[in-house]
Amino acid sequence: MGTDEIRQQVYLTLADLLKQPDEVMVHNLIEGTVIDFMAEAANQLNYYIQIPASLQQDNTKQLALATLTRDWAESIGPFKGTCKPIESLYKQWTLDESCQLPLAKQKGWLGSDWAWHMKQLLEDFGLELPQQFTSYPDHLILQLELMAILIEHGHMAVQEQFMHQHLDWLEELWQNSKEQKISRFYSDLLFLCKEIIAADKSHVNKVLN
Amino acid sequence: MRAISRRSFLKASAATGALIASSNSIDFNSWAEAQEKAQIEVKGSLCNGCASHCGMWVHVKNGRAWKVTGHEDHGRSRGKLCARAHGAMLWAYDPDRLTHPLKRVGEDQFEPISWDEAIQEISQKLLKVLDDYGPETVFYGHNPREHGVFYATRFMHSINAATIHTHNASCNTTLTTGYAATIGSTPGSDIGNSKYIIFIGRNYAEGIRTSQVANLSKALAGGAKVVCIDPRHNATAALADEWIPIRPGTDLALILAMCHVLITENLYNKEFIAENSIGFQEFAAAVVQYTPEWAAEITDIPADTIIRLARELASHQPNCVVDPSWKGGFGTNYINSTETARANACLNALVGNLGEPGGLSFSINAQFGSLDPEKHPAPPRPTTKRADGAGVKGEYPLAPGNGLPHYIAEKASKGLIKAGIIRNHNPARNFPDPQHMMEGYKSLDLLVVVETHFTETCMAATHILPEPSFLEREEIVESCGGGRPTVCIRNQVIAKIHPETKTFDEIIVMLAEKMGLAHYFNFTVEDVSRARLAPLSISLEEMREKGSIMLEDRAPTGMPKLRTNSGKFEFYSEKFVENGFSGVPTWIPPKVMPEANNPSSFRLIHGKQGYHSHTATANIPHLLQITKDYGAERIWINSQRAAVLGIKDGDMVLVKNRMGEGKVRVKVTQRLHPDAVYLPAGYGNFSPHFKTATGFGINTNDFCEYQLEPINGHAMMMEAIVEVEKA
Repeated sequence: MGTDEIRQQVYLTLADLLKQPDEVMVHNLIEGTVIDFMAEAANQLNYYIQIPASLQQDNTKQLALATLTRDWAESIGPFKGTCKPIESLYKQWTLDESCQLPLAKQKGWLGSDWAWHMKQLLEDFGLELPQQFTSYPDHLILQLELMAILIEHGHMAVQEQFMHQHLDWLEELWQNSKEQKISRFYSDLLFLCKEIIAADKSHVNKVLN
Repeated sequence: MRAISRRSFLKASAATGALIASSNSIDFNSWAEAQEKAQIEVKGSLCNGCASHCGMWVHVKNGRAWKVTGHEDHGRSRGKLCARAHGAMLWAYDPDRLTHPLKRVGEDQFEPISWDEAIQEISQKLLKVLDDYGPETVFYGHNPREHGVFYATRFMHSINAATIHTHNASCNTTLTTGYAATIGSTPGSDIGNSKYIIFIGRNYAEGIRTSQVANLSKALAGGAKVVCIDPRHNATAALADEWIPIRPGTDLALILAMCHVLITENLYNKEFIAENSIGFQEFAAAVVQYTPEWAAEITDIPADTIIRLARELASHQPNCVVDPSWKGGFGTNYINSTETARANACLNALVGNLGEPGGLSFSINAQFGSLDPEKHPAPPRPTTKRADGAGVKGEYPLAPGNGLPHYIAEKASKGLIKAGIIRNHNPARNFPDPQHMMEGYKSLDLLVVVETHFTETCMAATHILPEPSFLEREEIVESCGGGRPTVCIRNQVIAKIHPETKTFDEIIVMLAEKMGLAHYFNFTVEDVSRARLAPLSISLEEMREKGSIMLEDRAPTGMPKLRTNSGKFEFYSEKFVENGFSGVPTWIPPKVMPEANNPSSFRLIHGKQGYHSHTATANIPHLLQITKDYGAERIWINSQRAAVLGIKDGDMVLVKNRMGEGKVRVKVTQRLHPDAVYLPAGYGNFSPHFKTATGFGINTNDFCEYQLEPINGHAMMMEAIVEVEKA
């Protein structure tokens, strides 16, 4: 695999890990193939990433689908999740000064500028917004998948701009995961997302400069 | 190295690369700049921050709600909105909204299910309950607004079920009963044109409609004298000429004594009484015993003051009013509240103010059309008995059709009621004794709750069905009564945010279809609105564009034909006598009283704040911040009583009785009668899904027993004694 192909697969793998678990995913975690891939990818990309212990095979070999599904639902799932990975919730609702709703300058609300911009991007790129993301087109899963598409099809500057503008809230997401005391697995997964994206930003910056 | 990802949600095509390359929206900043240039559209609609449905203009930019302003052509808003309207706008964008149908799978455990599954399960269960136990075991409950009334009534009638209840047994059922027995309907007050106004427990300044405050301001500017009689120096008292603190639960004694003065001093309007009333002699004979001196002992208001108030009122007749109140002084609070409402009507009748400028006023509504019964046959009226005993001989025959939700909970616990549907209504939190309410609801075979948020009542549901927020749905055309009626509509002003939410009409139609009742619902929301508007020569298109239209019709002035049996004002009620109650209003002492020799014993009273609606708005962070900024969740205690207990302003206190206990900060004040502690009513949520509200403040319903007032079964929410001590 070339560098960009590895990068693309890293984004897709992270997106995959954030989705509702199924038997394939649990199998891959138990077998250690997911983390092996991430570790090897980081190594090949020269990203100095510490894989959190809870994601390593020593700890994932005991995983059960039912437990992981429950943890997913209560941590980042759409119904009960206490730490939903949605960009709008971590950013000012709008930068437009003409808005006079009480939430205008606050964080924590759906449907912010960032969500509408994501919707616009998907439309412009001919990408159909999946039905389950209609309420939040700025969900991290879609953003990671879009990054994979941008790596495959877009100029490095486009990637840099998207990362700079839309993937700059992950530190707060991870901090919130700790405050909400979500499951260790998912909190560590959000940490891994944050670390990998930070390393990838540096990589992209280096290439552009 | 082997990639292991499973599947992607986003599917790139051959054109994706070219589209990315040609896109000019990739830069957020440029996109945002272009968005700022968009025009703002203004769309008329109706608020949902409380039940008043004030007219509002929703300003929309790029498909998002952007601002809200009051609709000038709506009788309740008249161009102004309260804080709740601004706060309620946020519900649409709340990340904790209900987004999918949910099904109970265990104690406090719910899982999402599809609409098909939900409707299939609900309809099957409902049909089974109807088959096994009959329509008398099924109820529907809501805060009654026209869209829900229309669809729910039709649905309930289609299954031959009669029990449709509202929240009113915890609000103003007393008023409905008391005024129905005397006047035949519940009047308003022509406050703006009044010369002399007495508010007993009524608090316009922290009440529910901005237009009421405007009317009060007009009266004050016109030189009216305003007297506020209330155990608490409330926000209206701050505007009034005089505040008279009264011992809570004794308004009836005051009113009877004022009637006594008017009659014994020949100050009443004899001509009005002679021409327009029946039963005066019986009433006059009954009030002989209620002297001001007698009332002074009970009310803690000096006899001289009572006499003066009666004389002042009489001297301004007929352009004066003793406001009929609502929930305030003699809503569903005390065992004597129904009699208080009846006596209050009598007091107004004695000064002959019915239909007079500045007196009791009678509103009119728009004369709507209806669906063509040939094309859209309505189901027949139910032939079955109500499940909640309202209007039923042997139970609560004088209870109005608003019903008795707390009695339903008791009957459900006993297995006498089996299924219910509740919409936009939270009786599990807003009626006394939540444990009683929850136990009852959890005993049901089926409880469907239709809501936008996961309320306390949702916690007891078997199924929860999510509605779009009020900004995302159109409802049928409404009429708002008044001196000039308003015709208005709730427009859909933004696109639906959560695709799996469905409007109430959609839900009812789906259920009806599954239950073989589709023939009663062969029309659209639009069809209903057009039929309603037809006689008014207003098109639906015009209605949608304008949002609210105040009609030129005006309520007639002068004494109207009353909707009592006699067509006249009834000081004496045959109906009350037939059901074993006094023909004329008589003194009934409060059910419970603070312990005389216990310095920690108080009556717990409660009231509204102008920036909260019951417990429905405490989860809106901006509205709760107002509470926090002003310490407005504090319990009020009289200064002298506090000193005896060693309680200082800002202390935490423990409030307790046999129902429960809770800690809250205290406001030590001279603005409260010594017998009472006062708690604002909007706090104490316990749904774990209310991240902002739950755990904040305490709620009066946690200290009040489940109980039924004898005349109409209301909840008697201020018949509660607590002990207060420094925490």
